[in-house]
Amino acid sequence: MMRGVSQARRPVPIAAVTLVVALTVGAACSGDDADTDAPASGPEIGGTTSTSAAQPTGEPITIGFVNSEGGAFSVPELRVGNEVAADYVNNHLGGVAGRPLEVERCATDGSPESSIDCANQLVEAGVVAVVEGTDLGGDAMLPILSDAGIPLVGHVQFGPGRMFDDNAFYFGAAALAYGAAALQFYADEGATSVSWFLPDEPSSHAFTDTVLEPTAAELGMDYTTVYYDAASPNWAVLAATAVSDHPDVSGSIAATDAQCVEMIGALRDAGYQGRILAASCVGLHDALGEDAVGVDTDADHWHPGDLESAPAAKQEELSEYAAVMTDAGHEDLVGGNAVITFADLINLTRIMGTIDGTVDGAAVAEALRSARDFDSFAGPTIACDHTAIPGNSACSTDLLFFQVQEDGSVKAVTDDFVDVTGLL
Amino acid sequence: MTEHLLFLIVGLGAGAAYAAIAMALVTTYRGTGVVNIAQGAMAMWAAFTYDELRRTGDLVLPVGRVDLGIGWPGVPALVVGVASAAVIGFVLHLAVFRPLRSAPPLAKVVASVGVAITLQALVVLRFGTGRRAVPAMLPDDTVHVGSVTFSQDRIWFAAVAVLLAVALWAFGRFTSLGLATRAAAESERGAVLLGWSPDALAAGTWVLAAVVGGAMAVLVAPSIGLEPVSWTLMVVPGLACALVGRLASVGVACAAGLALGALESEITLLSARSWWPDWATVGVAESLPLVVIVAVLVVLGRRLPTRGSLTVEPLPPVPTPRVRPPVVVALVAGGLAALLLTGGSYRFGVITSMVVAIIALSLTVLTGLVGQISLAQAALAGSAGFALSKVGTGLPFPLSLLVAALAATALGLLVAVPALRIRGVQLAVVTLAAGVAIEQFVFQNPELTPPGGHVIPDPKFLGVDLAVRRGAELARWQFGALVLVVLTLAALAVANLVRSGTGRALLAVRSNERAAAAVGVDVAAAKLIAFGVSAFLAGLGGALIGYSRGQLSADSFTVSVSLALLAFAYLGGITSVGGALVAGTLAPLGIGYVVLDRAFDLGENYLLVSGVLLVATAVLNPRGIAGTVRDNMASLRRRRGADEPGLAPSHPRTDVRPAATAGARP
Repeated sequence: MMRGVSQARRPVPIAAVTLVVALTVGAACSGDDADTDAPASGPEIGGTTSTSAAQPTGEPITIGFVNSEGGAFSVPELRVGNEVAADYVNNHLGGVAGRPLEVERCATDGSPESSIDCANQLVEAGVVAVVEGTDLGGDAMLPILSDAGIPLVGHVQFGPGRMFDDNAFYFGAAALAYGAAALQFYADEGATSVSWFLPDEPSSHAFTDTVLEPTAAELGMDYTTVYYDAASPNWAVLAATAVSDHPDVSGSIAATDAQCVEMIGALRDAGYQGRILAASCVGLHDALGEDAVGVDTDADHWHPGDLESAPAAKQEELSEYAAVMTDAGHEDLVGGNAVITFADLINLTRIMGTIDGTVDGAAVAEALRSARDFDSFAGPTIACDHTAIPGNSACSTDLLFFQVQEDGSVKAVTDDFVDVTGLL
Repeated sequence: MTEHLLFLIVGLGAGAAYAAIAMALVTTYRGTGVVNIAQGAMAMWAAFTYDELRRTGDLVLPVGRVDLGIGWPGVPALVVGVASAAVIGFVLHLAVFRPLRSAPPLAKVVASVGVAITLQALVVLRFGTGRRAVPAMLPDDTVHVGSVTFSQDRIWFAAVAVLLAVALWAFGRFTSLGLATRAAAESERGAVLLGWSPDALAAGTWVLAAVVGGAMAVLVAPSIGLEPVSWTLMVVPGLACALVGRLASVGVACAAGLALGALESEITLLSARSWWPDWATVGVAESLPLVVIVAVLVVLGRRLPTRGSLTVEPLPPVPTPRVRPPVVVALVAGGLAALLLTGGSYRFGVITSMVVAIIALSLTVLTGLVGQISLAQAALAGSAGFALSKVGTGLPFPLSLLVAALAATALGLLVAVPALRIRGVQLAVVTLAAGVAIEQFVFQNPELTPPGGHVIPDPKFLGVDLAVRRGAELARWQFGALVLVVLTLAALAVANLVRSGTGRALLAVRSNERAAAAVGVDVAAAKLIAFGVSAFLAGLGGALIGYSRGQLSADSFTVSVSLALLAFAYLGGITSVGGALVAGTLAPLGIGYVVLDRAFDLGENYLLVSGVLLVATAVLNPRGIAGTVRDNMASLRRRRGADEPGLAPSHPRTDVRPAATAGARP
């Protein structure tokens, strides 16, 4: 069952494996959504959100924001989360240490060329940090930003370069953790065989050899990866391939919403009766109806649609987020992945607020490295000193698992974040 | 055994799509003589239109959208979707391929590439996002046959494909219109003498092919997904199957399509098995079309039918460059000034323009001089870039640069092997498939690609730091000067090649291979030289891209990039060194792009604009921008009484009419 298990464990990236996490979000709410095309105006903070702090003054602190929009992969929803958060910081939180926050935004089409163009523009704009919504070609920005001493901040590590770059800081769970945590979760649930679909990329193969297969072996599980062409997966064939091994669990730890919909449909068509993991996909019940019920999903933060499961402090944050988004006219996006970029900017500005002295790229990078035991917005306690996984740019390895309910809502099926300590 | 049967059935989904695209290609080729690289893109427009009508009730047009209510039912949406593809087919005939009816194959292929780029860019702009889960049209309930469980839509797909094949066969065999179309395919002149209008028949052919491809796209998209890039490239397996049918038989093309889909499915199953070699787990299914195409061309290459037409216009003329030292010095000084007077992203744009100009020069040699259409130049450039990431730390610069370019040369010569038996359109098909295979099988292969990506060390020569950037300085002039030196040497080499005896041999091959052979030109050697020089130039460009990035991604060297490279090279002027320089200026990230993007925020519209301009150039101005500028300058000089440069007296006629005039067969 298992292919070429490598005994030597080394940290290895998984590029597209992480795809889903933030992206999944996008498909249901992105694209032609007219609301996402209009820049969000500053929310009129009323009775729904907490009290405003003093208006920021002085020289603005400028950061960059890069996001895939308009190309083959487009997630404007993530830009909206960033826009609303920036307005919230300025109008509600008093800016960054009393100074106004400015955001230079640049859209990419997923190609390395457009990412390079954005990086060049942002360096010229004198930003002190670049925040990534999602950018498939974002690895191409790394040399430019690193040479300029500008840290790259994001949530989901989309490319192998970003996983192990000293100058990158990702507030979400490491891509590596998604695979390991899912295996741990299903092992705890009694599963003995798992088959994941992964994009057919070099990093996925390395991820399989060095993380998934050894982890599965450690947990006493049989494991198989079914690779697919990320550009044009034929899910019917892939599902039949996975089902041919009769695994207890199948699915993906990295896929877009549309891919999840096709994957689940194909697995159901193939007569698959086991449990299905649909990465961090949302909107499954809307697209699949009953076929989506019982499907598991994962996330590295508490879900805005499942407040009851979250700790009290996180419920407050999520409620505040929902109120701010609603006030900004984006109520329809509250349940999607805009929460990721909203949270990322809140986290970054909180960390930047600790800088004593000149705020430049080096100072921001140092502040990020110093952020340990940091209570992240709507998420777990994180450490951005590249120790969550040694050398890895992710600040966390923590993941939650949810399940799609009969009424279409999602409900956490883990009481707390899954602990993968010792597996990575 | 039942497991293998299941996978053969499941593969019929993609197989039906391949079959339909192949049948549409055969239909178009038989009726018009065009190998339509945009066939997949045309088909996907129907599916996107259908999907949007089902979801929102909006009819999306290239400009604007019409609100037709909420959520259309399946059949009306199918009809409108297919009709939209038919309209595209008709408009393409009127606006693009009718004016090109007597143009050389190069112009037709380039135009269809432009159409493919335009449609893909339009879909991205008009339909927004990437992959869509499309609502099903055909019954897709699960069926159980023995121990095999599958969705019944697979059987429907195959049935519809076969029905379409039968319908097309019957149309061509039993209807007067179909017979006339077949007759025109054999001899347009004969059809005219019998009172048929080749134009009207061609219009009908375009619509018919669009309907076949569009209808199947609507039906199959719910099963295999809908996404702009992969559907545009669906033409690759479609071409493979069409070639199996010798571009003449829809029945064989249909069977080949279904078989290819089933075979891909079977390979997917087998590649998940433990005994399957690791090096072959990536890209094998995607490389199948190349294997099929090469096999067919090797076996049937000389027996593939060509289509006669009333007249054939000449290829764009190749001006003989005059290497005048003052001009060269002035151009180099201009390049240096552009480097020194700019900074930041603008200087980076200047450098990128120079690099792309080197790659465009590779097309000047191959396509401009020899008439061989390559759609794999980005793959060749990428192979050098990736080779550089392997040898860059072990070998000193510039040895590493040369070794990387030589690696691309070796790959280019490998791709050239089929070219010894074929040319023109068929070679475009081979290189298109080769580009996909290299991209999938080589660039994505875990055995060849480090998971951390391709990191390339900065160049250093005689202690001088030639790195592209340092600190916040985005583009250093020192690196720009290095690129300028390479570009100058490459341009001088190409200019000298054109003027040399070898260049004249290449031009003779371009004009007429048989005539060239008759006068003693070794056609095979000439082609190999052209491929080798071209690949070396592409490799130099790819390696310099590597240095300019510091870290390479396979996404920079996809087939789509190859199509764009051809577009910009043709736009600039495919037959001249000046055209290559213009192409570099216009290419994405080039200085022209940077200036326009900063001024007008072109961004996502850039590819659409370039596609439209490519089509317009192919139709209206095949000499490209550089050719037009040269003509205008010559005209100006004439008015001033200056000598007209014109074509060198010793230049062989590049406008020699090929033997394939009306009804003639090579």
